[in-house]
Amino acid sequence: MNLDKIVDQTFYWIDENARRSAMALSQRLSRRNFLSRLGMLITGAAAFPLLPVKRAFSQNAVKEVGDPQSCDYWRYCALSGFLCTCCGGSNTSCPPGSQPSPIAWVGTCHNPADGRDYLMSYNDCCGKTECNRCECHNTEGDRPLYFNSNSNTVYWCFGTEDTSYHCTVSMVLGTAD
Amino acid sequence: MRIPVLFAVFLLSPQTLGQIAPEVLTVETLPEPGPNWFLGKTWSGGAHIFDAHNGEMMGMVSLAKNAPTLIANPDKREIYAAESYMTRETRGARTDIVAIYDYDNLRTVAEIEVPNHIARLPVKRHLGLLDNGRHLAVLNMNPGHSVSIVDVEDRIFIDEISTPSCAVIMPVAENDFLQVCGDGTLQLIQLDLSGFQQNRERSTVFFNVIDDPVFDRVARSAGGWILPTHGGMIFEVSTDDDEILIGEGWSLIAEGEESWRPGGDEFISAHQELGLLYIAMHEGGVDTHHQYGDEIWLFDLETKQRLHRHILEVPVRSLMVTQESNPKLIISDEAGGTQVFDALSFRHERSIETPASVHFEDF
Amino acid sequence: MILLAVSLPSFAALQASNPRSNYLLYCSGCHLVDGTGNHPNVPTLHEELGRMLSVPAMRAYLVQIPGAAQAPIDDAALADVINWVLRQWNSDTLPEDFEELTLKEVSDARREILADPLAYRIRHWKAFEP
Repeated sequence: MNLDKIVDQTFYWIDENARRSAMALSQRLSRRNFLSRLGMLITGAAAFPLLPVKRAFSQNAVKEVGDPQSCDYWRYCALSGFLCTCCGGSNTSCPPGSQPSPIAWVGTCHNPADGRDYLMSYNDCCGKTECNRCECHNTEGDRPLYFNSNSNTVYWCFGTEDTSYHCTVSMVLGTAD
Repeated sequence: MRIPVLFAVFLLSPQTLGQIAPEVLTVETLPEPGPNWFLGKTWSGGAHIFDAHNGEMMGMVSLAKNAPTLIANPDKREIYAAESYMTRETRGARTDIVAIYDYDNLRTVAEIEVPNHIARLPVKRHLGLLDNGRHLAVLNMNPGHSVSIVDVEDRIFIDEISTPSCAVIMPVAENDFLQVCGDGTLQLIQLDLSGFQQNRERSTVFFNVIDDPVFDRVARSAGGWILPTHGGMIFEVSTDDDEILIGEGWSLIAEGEESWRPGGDEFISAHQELGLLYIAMHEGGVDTHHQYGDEIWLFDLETKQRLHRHILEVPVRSLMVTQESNPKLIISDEAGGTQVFDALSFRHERSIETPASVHFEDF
Repeated sequence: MILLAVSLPSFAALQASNPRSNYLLYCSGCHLVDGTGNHPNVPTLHEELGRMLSVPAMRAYLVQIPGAAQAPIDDAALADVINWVLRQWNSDTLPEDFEELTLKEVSDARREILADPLAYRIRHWKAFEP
């Protein structure tokens, strides 16, 4: 008989049993109920859901025509990547759980709806796998990566906690005149 | 029916089984690389090693999803790659490394941690092995540019050199490299024996980044580097110690062909010894520099004459000519296929269907 | 610094008509619309620049850093943007005797390429704080 093996198996049985009783649902359930009751007390004060505040455009909203999920949309004249509008976001919001990159490159696009040129900020949303929908490769004003104020040959996920690229938005910063 | 079953049972009787030994699973060692072997770098799936002679895959260098490129060093029988990892793949703490892979087993033999802001898109010239074979230069963007120097012989990180608004790593001389800068110049960084910056020079202004920029895609020539511009100009550049030499620009575009421009991903390659330049061209206007090529134009670098104009069935994304006396032209096309041509006759020799390569490296 | 004959292209098409728009076009991508940047990789344009100008050699620096020097706007527009940034976000920290950058000053500085901005900044001012 292998005594070591018997001892090992005994200890394994003891540990296993100890683990099972320590983690028994009955033990955890009471603690969980307490926490959930505490949670309800805290959120009770704000009984209505908080809606995200939309940052108002300083002048009137930009007049736009076209499909924001199409690569031909006027905002995307220099966008290379996946459209956040196809990924659960919009041109001014990142999809749930992704991180907006504060750093971007700024180009100029012509808006056929009002005939004006606008400054567009191409910010990436980061921290998730590539969205892989609505891939566009528009390159108006795009320059090589050594000229990073105008370059698509760069992942623009800077200043986010996670730097994996998910999708790209196109925000209006102002008019170009 | 009964009889076939009995017959089958007879065949599989223990007596019969005992005569076939079970097969044993072994592991290949990578054979000695032959001429016209090449690496196909995929978007996010590592690099596949192919033999252009028969289209067979010989092995894979498995890399991080974010790895700009890899460089083989036949003298040391090692492959160097810059790789970026996160603890949970797309989130978590980020660690960037230079990994060293051995030829025989294509496994890491060393990892050297570098500052965690390497430029990660697949671009060949984000990485450069200096001609001394010791110093590896890695481009960073943070969002400003810098270059990390790694000593791949002693396997240590040396230093991060600040190089704002300059990118594209072009090794020259023993221990130096050139870069292209946004003010229309070239920058020369000269390293000392240990790999620290010893000297920095800038050239005269020779291009305009707004009107006709030099691409961030270049080709190595016998004496230096070949730089194309969006508008189809070619500049051949080299150094003489701390002096940067820029040849007079010449145009790829003849009269009447003004609608043609170079474009794609890694769309330019040169056979150094034969002095031949291969470049993918398309018809398009300003800002079409990423458009895949419908034709490949072949130029003699000495006479600057066009020798051949090859029309493609499927547009080309990237290409590479191997540096052999019997060279192959390897092409990655829009359909995701890899095409192998005889580089001198342009005879199509074979197609390799999978996987799709973003660009190629010598092996 | 390297003295070079720099031929600047014509900027008419890419230049906005006022410093704030030029700032948005060529600076805000990294330094952000509000100028606070992204520490430690992108410097803030608030207050620090004013303090920096207590060192005369740093006036040229503000013109010669690649982000400023390479913006596709002419010398007058560049002078306007830099002075605008100083007025907007550095009025409390500028030296008492501060005088705005002149067109000639900006033109002269822009003709010289500053190849190693970090080394210059460390030599004349100080390294970036981590």
